[in-house]
Formats: sequence, structure tokens, C-alpha cells
Amino acid sequence: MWTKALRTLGGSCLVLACLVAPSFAHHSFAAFNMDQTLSITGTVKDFEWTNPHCWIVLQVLGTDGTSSEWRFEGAPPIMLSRGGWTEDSLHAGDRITISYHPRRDGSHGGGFQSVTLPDGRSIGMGGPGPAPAGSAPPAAASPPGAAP
Amino acid sequence: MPKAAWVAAVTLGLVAQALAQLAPRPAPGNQFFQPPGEPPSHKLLSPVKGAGPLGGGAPVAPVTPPVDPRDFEGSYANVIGYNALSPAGTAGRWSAPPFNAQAEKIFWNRVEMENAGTPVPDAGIACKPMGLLRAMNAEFGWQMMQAPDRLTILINEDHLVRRIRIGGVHPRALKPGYMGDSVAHWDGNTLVIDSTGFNERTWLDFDGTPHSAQLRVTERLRRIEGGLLEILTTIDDPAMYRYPWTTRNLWRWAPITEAAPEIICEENDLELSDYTGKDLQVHH
Amino acid sequence: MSPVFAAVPDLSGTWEAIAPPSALRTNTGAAPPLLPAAQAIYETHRKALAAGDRDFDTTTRCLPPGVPRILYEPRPFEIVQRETYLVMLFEYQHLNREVFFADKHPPLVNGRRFLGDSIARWDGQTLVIDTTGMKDTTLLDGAGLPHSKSLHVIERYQLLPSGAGLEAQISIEDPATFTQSWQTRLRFRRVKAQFAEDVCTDQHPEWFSKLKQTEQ
Repeated sequence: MWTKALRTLGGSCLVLACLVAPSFAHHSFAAFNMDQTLSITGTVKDFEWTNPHCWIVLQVLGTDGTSSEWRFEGAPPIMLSRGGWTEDSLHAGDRITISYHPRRDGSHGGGFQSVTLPDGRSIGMGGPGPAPAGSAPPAAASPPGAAP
Repeated sequence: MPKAAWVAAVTLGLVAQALAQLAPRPAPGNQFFQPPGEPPSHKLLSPVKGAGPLGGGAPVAPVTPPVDPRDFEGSYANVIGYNALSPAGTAGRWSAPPFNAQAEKIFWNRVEMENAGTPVPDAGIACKPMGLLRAMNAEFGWQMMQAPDRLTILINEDHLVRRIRIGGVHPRALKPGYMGDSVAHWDGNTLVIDSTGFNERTWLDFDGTPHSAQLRVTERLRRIEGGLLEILTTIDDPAMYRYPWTTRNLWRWAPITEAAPEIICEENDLELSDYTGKDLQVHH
Repeated sequence: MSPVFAAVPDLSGTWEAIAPPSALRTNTGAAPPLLPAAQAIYETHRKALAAGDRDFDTTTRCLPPGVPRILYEPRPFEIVQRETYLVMLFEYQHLNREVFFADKHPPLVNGRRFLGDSIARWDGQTLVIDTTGMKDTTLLDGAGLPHSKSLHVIERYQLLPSGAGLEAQISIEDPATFTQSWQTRLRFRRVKAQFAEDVCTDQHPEWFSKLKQTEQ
């Protein structure tokens, strides 16, 4: 899920595991509908730059005029930072648009993929992902400490 | 070939093909396998000269792997990412380990529960160490520090540590743990690590390849060309597998130049609420 | 090894703090010189502790104790020393501090750390570890001594003569917490230890009591 390229091998593929980055996630992404990507605009209430996952808490105004809180889970800091995120990327009060995979249970939230900031810039996921089939070993798949 | 035999052979061939395509279940994980065979050798960089305290500034790590084939010290990035471990030699596709009936049931239950959106809790959901196999194949790799009598491995995730006693023996009374007890000996330029004393709370990989407390792991580490380290890992667990099986991975050497990332699982384990309805922690 | 490195002491080995106090004092035995606001926070922590409430202490939720508090844990730690870095491997929560010899701190790309960001240098025979970039949710000691994000800790390690052990002179500077920087001292002795596996959440099974086990 935290990757841009999707790689499938020889036909059938376990739906969720195919879409996830290898191994990192302590937990599965089973809570999200990975086949759907939605978009939502709101005001940042909180941005938690934490392990094992970063979280964006968004205050969203519904069409009926009521406000509700939505929670979006993202990659850990070590991966977000490769996409250009820092712990100061978002502040309370920022009006942003989040692109996300919605929660399967229909509750307010999901797994965020990218964010459009108030100034119009977009930040997405950083970090290594699976190489498309047939390509060279992914050079990006180097942890800190590896040669560039 | 007589006609009857020929017909039989063709029929068998067709049947075999049809059976192969039936594939009772989809393959469980995305393997990110490299093409079969080893990656091409890397051009070694020439060593950096001059930097160091005598020339001023902080000392600089060497950029070439150690000359001694028994010197494994360094930082390692994995070449193959595994969501589900596979016996070596499966050429880019997942194939099932030799599960016994119990292990097969456990494994596919874990895979199918994940797919259904109701995953079986793994070690990580309770912030437990993820176990030896999964840690060694973890996404961000690890660092190895070596002394004549021991090897220390810092996994670049969850501040996991492996302490391996070279020339040591397992204690008689071994309290089962998450990462096991490891001793090693040299076989030529191959370091052979024997690990035992595992509890039953971990999975061998993200998808849930299972093991029991009877697990015994043998890793054979050797340096190969191109600055690569090969580890052949044999999984011997008679409670789960019909016979021991071996998986293989490669790691790319680099000097140790950066601290392992600080990843503290307990910091904000909000996904726990997916399981329990109660946050473990919210702190930032 | 170059001649310069051959001349520095080797701090490698397994160490344990000698009689580590739970409440830090300066080298003259005085209480740390807290600013009034920080003093008030410290008082609430001390009161809570006296009432048996350790909720203010995030180590009770399995978070790392920060620096220098981690050195005060009565558990062994190992120092692995190299030319370009050294590592402290703690039995406590299997934490580690990997410290590189460098002239300045790198940018905090992945954010602040519970154990801060540390760099090292040699000052003659003294190892100097300089730490900034700590999260402010840790405490300086087990008695609840607070600190801010401005915390700057300098540890100076020397081997004591005749194998008597290791001594750390610890300087604590935090203009948002203390009226001035102050020093404290801690000694360590060599120990032979088999490191136990310390998994903090194993001590809190009640946190996971509702985890549904859906095996088999």
C-alpha cells in the first residue's frame, strides 16, 4: 500500500498481500479497501508523526453542515520522510485534500496515500517499493546505512 | 514410441497441465523476486583516501567490503523482499513449504482472514519482537558487528538485537524467547548459526508461515562476489513441516554510516483498536 | 588502525551502573536548578509518585526512558566501539544508542527520537557524547524530573585507573527547564552478563486481553 508500483506474479495473487510493501507493517492493511481510492478535503486537527504509523486527524464538514472527525493512517516516519514529509509537514488548521483507501467498515477514515497542501503542493508516499516485473534490483530499497 | 504409450504420455501431459492451472488457492504473497541467478557483480569503488582525524574532521568509513572473506561487519540491505517465505530455487514464484496438515491449515487461515478483512493478530499487533526469520528478512535490513567470539546484529526495525556466540553452546535450560538463542561455528569461510529456544508467538514472515516451539533454524552465511552476502536458512520444525526446508536471500553490503532508525512500536499503536477497541498509546 | 586511533581507550565491554539514584542530584548534592514552571511540574510528579500513581512516566507504557535516564537502569549494557562509531546495547527493552563520530548533528529527517540524536568525539582520553533532538515526553530521572525539546546532554566518559571502572560526567543544559546547566556523575563497573530478552509488553497482558485469537 505504501508503494507506487504494483507487482503481480504469474497470475493470481493474494489480494491484499500483493498490494502491501514487504514485511514492514506490524499489522495488516486488512482494514482498508485497497481497490478504492477516494478523496476528501478538510482541516487538519492533528498530525501525529509517530511509529509504527503516522496519523492525520481531519475535521470534515459534511454536506448537511455537520462537522466530523476522520482519522487517516499512513506509513511510518522513516518511509514518509523519503517522500519529503517531515514532522512539520502539516499543522492544525491547514486545509488539505487527502487521497486515501477507505476503511472497509465504512467508518470515517482510511489509509492515506497522498496529501495536497494549502499551497497546492502534493506530497505522496516515499520509500522503496517492489520493482515492476523484470526490472533491475530496486536501488531504492536501501535502509539507512546502505550505500547510495 | 508405440502409439499407446504416446497417447498415454500426451494425455498425462494434458492432465498435468490442467491440474497445474487449477491451483487450489492463489499464491499468498508478493515475492519481489529477482530474476533467477545472481545479480551482476558490482564494480567496487576505490577506497577513500585521506579523510580521518589526522587530516581533520570525523573519521570516514571504508567504502569497499572487507578483504577477509570471514569479515561480515557492515550494513546490509536485502535483495529479495518476502511476504511469504518459499523454498530456495523456486525461480521467482512462491511455492509452498512442506507444510504438514496442521501447518497448512494455520497458514491458509491466516492468509484468508487477512483477505477477509479480519486478520489474525500477529506478534507486531502487540508490539512483540517479530522473530528471527522475519527480522532478518525485514524491509530495512540490518547491521552486523563482529568480534572473534561473537556477532551482534542490529535489525533496522523495532530495535531488535541478535547476539550470536561464535564457538558457544546452547544453555541446557533455555527459556523460550522471541528471537531464540544463537550459537555459531565456522565451516571454511561460511559461518553456520544454529538457533533454538523459540516461543510460539511469532510467524516466519508477514503472511503467516507458521512455526512451533520445536523450531530449529540453521543459517549459513557466506560472502559472494559483488559485495553480496548469501544466507541459506534451513527451517527444521517437525511439528509443522514434513521435512526441513531451506530458503535463500541475498544482502548487499555497505559500510555502517548511519544509526539504525528509531522505531518504537508502542509509541502510537492505534491499530490495536481495530482489534480491541482500546488505544494502546497516543503520544507524539 | 591509524596511530591516532590506537591511542584512544577502548570502552568495549559489558557495564552496569553502580548504585544509580532514581532522583538526580548535582555533583554538589543539590537539587537540580529548576525554573519555577518546571519545578511545579516536578512537584506534581513527585506527589503522584508518592500516591503510587506513575501515569506521568511514559516508561510505564513501554516507551524508552530517554537520555541520560537509560544509563540509570540497573541492567547491563554493552559498548561496542569502532573507529567511526560506537554502540551501546542495553538489556532494558533491548534498546540501543548508535553514536557516530561527527562534527555536527545531522538534520532530524525522521523526527525527534526518544533517545535523542547523539554524536561523539574524542577529547584526549575522554569520550564525549553530545545529544540533542530528544522527544519531550521522556523524563530525566525516575522521580519525574522534566525537560523540554531544548534539552542538550553532554556525557564525558573516562576509564578509571587500575580497572576501577568507567565514569560518566553528565552535563545537562535546558534553558526552558533549568536556570543554568548543571553536572551529575555516574560510575559503571564491568560485569559478566548473559543478556536476557526484555519484552516490555509481555508485562502488560491486560492491554491485549481483547485480542481475538482466530487461529485454527
